[in-house]
Amino acid sequence: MADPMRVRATENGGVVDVKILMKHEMETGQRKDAAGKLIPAWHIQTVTAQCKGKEVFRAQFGPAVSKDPFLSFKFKGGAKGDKVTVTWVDNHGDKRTDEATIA
Amino acid sequence: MRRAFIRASAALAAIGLTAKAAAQAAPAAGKGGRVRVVYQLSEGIDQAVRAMANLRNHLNAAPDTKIVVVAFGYGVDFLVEGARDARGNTFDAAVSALSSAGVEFRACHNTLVARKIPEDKLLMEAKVVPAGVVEIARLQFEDGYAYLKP
Repeated sequence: MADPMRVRATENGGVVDVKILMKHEMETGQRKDAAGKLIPAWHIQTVTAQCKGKEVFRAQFGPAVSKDPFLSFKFKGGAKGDKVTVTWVDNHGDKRTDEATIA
Repeated sequence: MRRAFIRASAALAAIGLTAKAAAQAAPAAGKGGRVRVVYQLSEGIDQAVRAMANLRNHLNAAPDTKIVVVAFGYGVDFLVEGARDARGNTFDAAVSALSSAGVEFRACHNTLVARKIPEDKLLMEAKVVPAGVVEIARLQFEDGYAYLKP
């Protein structure tokens, strides 16, 4: 149901650079709609990344993170051809997992 | 309006319809109501600069419009990472802001091959389609998109 993420991973000198573009409303729960009713909070809570079955990244997101978040991080130990799997879970319990091959 | 639409489709899915059914319901609901527009970008950086302004103005005046930008030929230049306009400004901020506002950016695969631009050099917002011209024709013929060339 949730829109797919764009994930890109490139290896350079033993360091893998991962770039992730998530698609999410990231509603804070503070805003009001045109009728003055509070728009309920709806945002990503955790983001994790795995490579070869090992967790290489974990983050907790809150209402302060912008809509359609962009995330970039680096880790050591990945090689070209390995897969990086990224998953987010939002406060509705919704999940989205996408993967990319390291180039 | 777009938020309301997303909520509505989220609610449909929540009551047990498959995501596919929700996706199929979307165009039908839009028929007659939601204006759909395809922008052709094929002339390089100057056209892209004009288009960014046109797109912003378009969405300001009619926020409910579904806009797809199809880039091919020299039109893909602005979607390449690190591309700059004549004043030296990059396009990434403009593209990601428009993308958040619901604009889709589609780049022509034939162009990328012909001009030897690797796919991973494109901005992350850009989606690659097999052929730009085919995409424009398909959007107009099958999905009822209006055509604009800034």
